[in-house]
Amino acid sequence: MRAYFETITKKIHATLMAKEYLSLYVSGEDSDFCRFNHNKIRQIGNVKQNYVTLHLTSEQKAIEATLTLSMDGADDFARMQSLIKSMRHELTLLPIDPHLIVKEGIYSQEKVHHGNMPSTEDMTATIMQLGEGRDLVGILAKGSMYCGFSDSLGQFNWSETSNFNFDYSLYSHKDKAVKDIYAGFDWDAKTLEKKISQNKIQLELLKITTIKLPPKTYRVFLSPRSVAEILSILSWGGFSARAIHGHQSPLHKLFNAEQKLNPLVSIEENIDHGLAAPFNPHGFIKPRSLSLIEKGAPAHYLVSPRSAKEFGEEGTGAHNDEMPESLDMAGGDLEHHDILKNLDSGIYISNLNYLNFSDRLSGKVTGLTRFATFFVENGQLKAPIDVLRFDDSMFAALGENLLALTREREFIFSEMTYFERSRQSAHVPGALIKELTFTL
Amino acid sequence: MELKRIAARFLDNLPKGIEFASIRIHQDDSQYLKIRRDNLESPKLSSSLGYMVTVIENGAFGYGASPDVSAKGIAGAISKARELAQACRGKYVFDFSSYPKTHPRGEFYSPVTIPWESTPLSSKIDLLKTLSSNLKIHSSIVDWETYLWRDKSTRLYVTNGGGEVFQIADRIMPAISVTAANESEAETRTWQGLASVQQKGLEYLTEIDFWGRGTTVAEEAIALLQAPVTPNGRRDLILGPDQMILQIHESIGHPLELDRILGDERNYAGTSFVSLDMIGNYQYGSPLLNITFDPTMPYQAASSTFDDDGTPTSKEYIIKDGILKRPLGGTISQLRAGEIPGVACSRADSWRRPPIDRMANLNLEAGTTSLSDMIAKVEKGILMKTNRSWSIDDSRRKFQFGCEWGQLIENGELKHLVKKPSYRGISSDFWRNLGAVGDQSTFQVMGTPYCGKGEPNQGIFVGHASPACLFHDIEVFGG
Repeated sequence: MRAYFETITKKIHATLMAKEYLSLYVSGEDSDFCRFNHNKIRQIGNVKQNYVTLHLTSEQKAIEATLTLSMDGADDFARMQSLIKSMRHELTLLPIDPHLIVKEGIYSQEKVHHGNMPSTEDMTATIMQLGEGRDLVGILAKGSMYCGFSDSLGQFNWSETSNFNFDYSLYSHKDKAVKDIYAGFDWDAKTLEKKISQNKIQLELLKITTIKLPPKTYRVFLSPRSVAEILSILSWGGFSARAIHGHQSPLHKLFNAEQKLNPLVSIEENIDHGLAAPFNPHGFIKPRSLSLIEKGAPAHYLVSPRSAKEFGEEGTGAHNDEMPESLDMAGGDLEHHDILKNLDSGIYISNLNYLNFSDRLSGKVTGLTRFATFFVENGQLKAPIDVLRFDDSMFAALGENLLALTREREFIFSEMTYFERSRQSAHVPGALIKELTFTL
Repeated sequence: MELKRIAARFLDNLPKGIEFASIRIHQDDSQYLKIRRDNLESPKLSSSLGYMVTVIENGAFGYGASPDVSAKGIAGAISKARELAQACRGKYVFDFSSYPKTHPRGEFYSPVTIPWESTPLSSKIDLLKTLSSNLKIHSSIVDWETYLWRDKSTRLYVTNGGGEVFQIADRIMPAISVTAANESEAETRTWQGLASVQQKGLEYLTEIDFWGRGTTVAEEAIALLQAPVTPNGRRDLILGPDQMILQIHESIGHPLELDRILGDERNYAGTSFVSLDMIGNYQYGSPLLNITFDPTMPYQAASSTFDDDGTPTSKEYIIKDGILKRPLGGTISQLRAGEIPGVACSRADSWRRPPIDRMANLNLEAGTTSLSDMIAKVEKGILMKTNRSWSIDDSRRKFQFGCEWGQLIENGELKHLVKKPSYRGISSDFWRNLGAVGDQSTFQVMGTPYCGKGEPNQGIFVGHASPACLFHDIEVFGG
C-alpha cells in the first residue's frame, strides 16, 4: 500500500495549479474479524478498506473530501482528479477561513512495526480449544493497519503495523463474567493459555452468591482498566484547547486553576509507546511525549493547528478532535499483592461501563460497575456484587480522595473498531480511592 | 450504473454450484458544513464505494468486504469469504444450512422533494453564516455553532438466485448549538441536532423554520445559565419527545434486541434483563405503553422496504397495551432462538460490516392526552426536554439521564426554568409508572445517526418517534 500511495500521490501533486496546496491522508486496514459466542463462532470475515482524504487549500480557503481507493491506479487517479476539479470550483465560492493554517516545513518520517501471527484459522482454533467447556464471548481482530500522508511540498509520512486484539469475556452466570484482552504484535498461544487459566480462577470466585450493596459511599479499588475508562471519558474534550476555551471541557476548572488533582496524578500523551501515528492527518508532527498533567497540576493541553491559529497558541500536532491517543499515566507505590490489604473493606472494581458526564464542567461523571466486581471485607474478597451506579466528581476521586496508585501498570490497546480498528492505547495503573459515591 | 456493473462482476466471478452467495454494494455520500463562531470550517465531503460478499456453504458462513471493485478484487473477496467459512465448518453457533436462502426483489427511495444538490454548496454556507451571525446576542455566549449534515446511502443487494434489492436513504440533519458561560458555570442549549435526522431533502429546513430559530436558542442558553439548579427529590416527570426518544432507545430498544438476549453482545454492548421466556407475557410497562417497529413511517431515519439480509419489512407491535409481544430479531436470530416472532431488522452500518439485529424505527404510539391536560394532572412535577447525558447498565436496567431544559410543575401549572435537570431509575419500574401518553399534537419523528453496538463495532442510523409522556414518582435531581 505504501508504494501505491506514494506513486499515485506524486501523480496527483503534479496536476496542481499555482497557489494551491494539496495534502492527502490515507488510512486503511486488511483485517480478519472472528466473533465468538458460547465458545463458538458467530461471524467470521475479512475487511479490506482504504480511504484517502484530500485537503485542498488556496488563498486562505480550504475544502476536504474523502473517498475510497479501489486500488486500480488509473481509476483512482481519474476519480481524484475529477474530485480536485470540483473542489477547486467550490473553493472559489467559499469565504476566507481566518483560522486555517497551512503547514510550511517538510517533516517526512516513517514508523513500521510488523508482528508475527499465525493464520486466523489457527488462532481461532487455539481460542476455542482454550475456551472449551467455558462460555467464552468476544472478538478476535487481526491484520495490518496503516496511515500515510503526502503533500505538494514533498512531505511523506507513513505508519504501519500488523497486530492482533483478542477482546473476550468468560461468563459464569447471568451478567457475571471475567473480562480480559490479549493484544499485541507477536501471538503466543502460551501467553493466552496463562491468561485464561488466571481468568478461570477468578471465575470460581464469581460463583459465590452475589450480594446487593445499598447505594452509598464506599472505599474502592479501580483496576487499571477502570482507570482507563475514567481517563477515556475525561478525554472527551478534557484536554482539548477548543473545549477548554469554549467552557465545555470536564477539565476546564483544572486548566483554569480553579481545581487541582492529587499530586500522584501525572499524565502524558506518549506517542512513542502506542499504536498512534506520529503525525496528524494534516501532516503536522506530534511531540513524542507531551505532559498533560504534572503532579496534579495542569501542564499542556492538545492544540490542533486550527485551534493554534484561533487562540494564538502553540500547536501540538493534535487531530481536529484534540483527543489523546496514547495516554500514559504514571504509576505509584502500591504493590499488586498489597491491594486487598490496603482496600481493607470496600469494592474491588475490575471494569466500569457506560460512563458519561452528569455535570461536565464540574468534572462529575456517572457510570456503572461491570463484570467481576467484588465486595471486600478485612482485606478478603467476600462476594461478587450486583451492578452499582456511581456519580461523583473526578476532581474528588482523582484529587483529595485518591490514596494510592499501583506500581504495576497495564498497557491497554483500544478494542474499538468503529469505522476502522482504533490506534488508541493507554498505559495506566490501578487506583485506591478513599470514597466514591454510588447512587443506584 | 456503477452498482449494477459491480453486481454483474460478482455474479460472473461466483464459482458454480455455490449454495448461497450475496453481495451488498454501498455508495455512501455525505457532506458536512459547519460554521463555528461565525467562521466556516473546511467543508467535508465524503464518497465511499465498497461491497460485502457473503457465502454460505456446508452450514458455514463467511464474509469478505473490499473497496476493490475490479473483477479480480471481487473474486478475491469471494475466495476469502469461502476460505474463512470452510476453515470454521462445524464450529458455528448456528447451522447456516437451515438459513432460508431467499432471493427478494424490490426497491426503496427516500421521499425527497427538494434534493440537496438543487442548491449550490456556497448558498447553503451563506445561509448557515447568516444563521450563525444571529447567535452571539450577549457577552455571556462563549461558543456557538450551526451545521448541516447530509448523508445519502445507495445500496444494492444481489443474490446468486436472482434477488435484487435497490434502496436509497437520503438523510439530512440540521443543528444549532449555543453555550453561555459565566465565571463558574456554562450551559449549552441545542436545537434539532443529530436527533433531527429525517429522510428528507432541503424542504425539511423550511418545514422546521431552521433559518429562523437562532435567536431563540441563544436566548434559552442565557436563560439556563441564570436559572436555579433542579431541586432533588421524587416528582412526577413529563418528558418531551426529544428526551423520550433516548428513553425508548436505551431502555426498550437495546434490551429487546434478540442478539443481546442470545448473548452475542455480552462482551461489548451488554446483555439484557429480558429473557426469551418473557416474550408474549411480560408486563413491560403500564397498559398505556404501545411500541411499534415501523419501517413504513414516511420520512423516518430508518424507513426501508427490506433489511440488509433481504427480508421484507413491515410494521409490527413490539409492546402492545404494556405486554411484550416480540423482540427485535432478524431471520437468523429468530431461528437461533427457536422460531419466535421477530422483525426485519438485520442491518449493517456500511459495506464494511455484516448485518446484526438493529432497531430501525422504534416508536411509541401516540395516546389521547394533550400536553396541557398532562401538566394539569401533576401536583408536584417537572417537564424535561432535550437529552444532555445518558448512561445505563449492561443489562439495561439502571439508567441515569440528564436533559438541557427543565421547568418545574406545581399544582397543575408550569412554573420557572431550572438547569441541569436529571433523573434516574430502573427500566421496568419506570415504564410501569407511565401515567399518560401525549396525543398526536405532541408527537415528533426523530432519530439518531450513532447507535453503537456489534463486534466489530457499528454505528448506525435509527429512527424514533414519540409523543410527550408522563411518569409518576421519579427520582429527580440537579446534575
